[in-house]
Amino acid sequence: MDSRYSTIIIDDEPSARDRLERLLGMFPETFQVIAIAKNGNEAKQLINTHNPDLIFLDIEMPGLNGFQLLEALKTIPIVVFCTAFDQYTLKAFETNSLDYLVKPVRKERLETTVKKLKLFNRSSNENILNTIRNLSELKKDSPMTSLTIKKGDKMVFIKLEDVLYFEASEKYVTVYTKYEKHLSEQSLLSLQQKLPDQFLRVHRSIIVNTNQVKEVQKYFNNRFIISLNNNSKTSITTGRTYNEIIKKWMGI
Amino acid sequence: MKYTFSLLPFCLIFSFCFSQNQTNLPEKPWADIVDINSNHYVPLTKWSKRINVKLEGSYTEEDSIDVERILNKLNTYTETITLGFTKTDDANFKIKFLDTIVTDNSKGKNRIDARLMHGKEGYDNAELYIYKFLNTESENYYGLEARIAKALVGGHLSRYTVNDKISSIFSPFKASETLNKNDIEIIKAVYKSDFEKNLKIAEKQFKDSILKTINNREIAERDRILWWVRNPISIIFLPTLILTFLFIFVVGKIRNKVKSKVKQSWIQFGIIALFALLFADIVVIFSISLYDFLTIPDNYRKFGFVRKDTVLTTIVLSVLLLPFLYLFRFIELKIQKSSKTILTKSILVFLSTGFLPFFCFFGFYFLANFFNELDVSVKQNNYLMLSKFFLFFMSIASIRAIIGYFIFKERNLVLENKLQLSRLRELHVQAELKSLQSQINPHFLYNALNSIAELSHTDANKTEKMALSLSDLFRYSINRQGKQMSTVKDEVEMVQTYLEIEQIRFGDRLEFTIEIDENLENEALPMFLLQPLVENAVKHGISKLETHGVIKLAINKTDKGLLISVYDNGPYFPEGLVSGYGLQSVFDLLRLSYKSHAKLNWHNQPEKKIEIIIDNF
Repeated sequence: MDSRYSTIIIDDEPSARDRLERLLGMFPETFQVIAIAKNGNEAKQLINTHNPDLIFLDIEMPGLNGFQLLEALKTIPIVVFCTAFDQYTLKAFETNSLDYLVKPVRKERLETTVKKLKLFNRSSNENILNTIRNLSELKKDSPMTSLTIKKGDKMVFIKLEDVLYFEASEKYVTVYTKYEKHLSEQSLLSLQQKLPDQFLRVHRSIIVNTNQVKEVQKYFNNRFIISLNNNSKTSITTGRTYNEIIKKWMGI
Repeated sequence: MKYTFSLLPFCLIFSFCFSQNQTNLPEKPWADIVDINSNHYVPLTKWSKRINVKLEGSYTEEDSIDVERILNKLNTYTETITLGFTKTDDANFKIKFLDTIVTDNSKGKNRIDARLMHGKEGYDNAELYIYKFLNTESENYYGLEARIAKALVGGHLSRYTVNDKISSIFSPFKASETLNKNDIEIIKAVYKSDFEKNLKIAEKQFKDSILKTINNREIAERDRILWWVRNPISIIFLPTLILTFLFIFVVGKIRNKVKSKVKQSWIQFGIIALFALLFADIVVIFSISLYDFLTIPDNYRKFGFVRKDTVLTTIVLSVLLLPFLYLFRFIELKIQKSSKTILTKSILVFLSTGFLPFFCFFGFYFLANFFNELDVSVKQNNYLMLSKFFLFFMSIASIRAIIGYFIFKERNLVLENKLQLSRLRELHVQAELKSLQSQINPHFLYNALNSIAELSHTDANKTEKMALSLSDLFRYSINRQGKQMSTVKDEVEMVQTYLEIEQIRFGDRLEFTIEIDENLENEALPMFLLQPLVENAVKHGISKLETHGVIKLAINKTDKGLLISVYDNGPYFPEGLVSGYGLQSVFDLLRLSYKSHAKLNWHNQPEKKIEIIIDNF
């Protein structure tokens, strides 16, 4: 039996594809490159056609992202992820017998992968999908760092770390920073969905930046008073329904 | 009194020379008679009918005898009328004896002693109230006599003050309790048949002396009594103050208007000074006229409220003052702008405010004294005025110097604060710049290096180009040495380098064009402004496209200012939240370099582009 793994390389950058191809060519007894895909759609087609054993998949590709691609497959081959980011070190990778390579790929590292493959047992689709899901959650949207507000014919960029809190009124949401305030047309709900985790909704019309909270005091009726870090020492009274959420955030 | 005596011989000679038929009337009693008659309200009044006396009230027989004796005595003085008791009811002179006991005469000011009623020809009815005095019998008798005698001639003397302490029943103050010789002479003269004729002569004779004295005394009394003559300033103060504030306000408004219309500062000053002088004139004329009005007695009716001489003098003074104002302004400006110590400045202010105006006055008075052969007393008076002015100016100068000292001190403090503040701000800006500068994207680096690693096997030329381009880019961004501004040419060159690197990475997925107006090449731009924009287009635009990506950078000049546009054909800009620091850093850099004169904006329709407009280019 041919112990070689039929391999498809999937990467949007030509030099990355070339490199991988060249490197894999150094391990001819392990890898047999049968196809190379430039993007997710092409990859889907090729995988469905050729049914490879192994794919090298670039995470940062336009169009169909890794997860969507794998979900769309009937059977998931062995996946080795390639990424220019080195922060996605998931233990799951190692335990779930998947591997990842950091770009630029080094021959020595590839050797490790080759060795691992020998000890590899194909995991269930379930596991792979889970891991990928976790990975894509991590990577999905790089954390939002700025808020843009259009003011007539110009734009204002506000660093999220400078935002103290958002307050909704009838038509607009007011964004409060240490020294300024701005009006945004975004609704509080849509903001809440997109804002990173340090932004907590504490009231029907208020989202607060927990990194800017100085202290929290208990108040009547299941409410809290949150004092902020600014010069005018703003304090926010929370809403009753958000009591549990706040408690959870504070860890009590 | 000296006057009257010195005039008397003149009067005698005068009337001797010019009067026709002449006896000179003796001063006593005629001076007094003229005096009594001179009163507007209560001129000399006498009886023309027979006086029928009747006694009423609680009188004793002794009282009755006393009264009879008095009446007999008085009858000898009165030529034209007779006094006597009447038994019938046609009494026109009632003497009422009252039970009220009075101990001290002076207390009874409100007490009515007599009521005398006028008819067509003088008194025709009288009521005398006699209280029970606790005096001796003779005192009572003489008191009664005096009172009845007084009822014969109505009126009182006007030309004496309370200090003169005359003793007469005709004294306007404490009336005498006894009838003295002078009073008797008066009564006699009044009740002579030729009284009216003599009165006319006497009035001519004594007019100047008596009437003048009376007038002066009236003025003095008025000055002594009427509150607004004694303290006219209390009335003048408030209106003058209000007028002054009103005029200051108006001058302020004029100043604003003049400042916007006239450019030359000294013309501005001239106009403002003229208006200020005009208003000052008005205020001065107003207050002086009011003062005169209040203090000059009857004569004010002869002059208008505003006197011509007041107006004239103030206008002349104002016109003369104008060049001096210019001089003062010049000196003030010099002092203010000089960078001497605070103490020196204050001293200079003191000198300029105190001595300068004073010397003007001094010169004025000196000339006046020198050229006119003036009386010693007038000269002394001038010097007095001068010394008063000196004091005045010195006080104003001292106050100004003290206030000036504190103002200068505060200004210095404020300046120091401002300097410190601007130094801090500068430091802050430097720090911010530094942090903005060191934001080259690490992913870009990794990807580029990955490409180099790969290309080194396949395409040596491309590898070389990429390595060199990368080093150019980094040299540009890292080796800044604190430079904040670069040129359009250099920035575009870097963008080009960057795009070439990315193009090698993406291959034919990336195509770019750069359109720069040639004339703008040397215009200043903040360093590292364009690269993040283009990188953003690559990262969020091109890298998300599977196919052909196009990026265009355009820089040209419009009427709004310098326009920088970066177009790409990637997915639309998302509303609201964005990730990554690229655009944030562009925004921050624009704000640091141009404050509010630069705008950042993006559009999705009709083409996807991001724009920067910098004003005043």
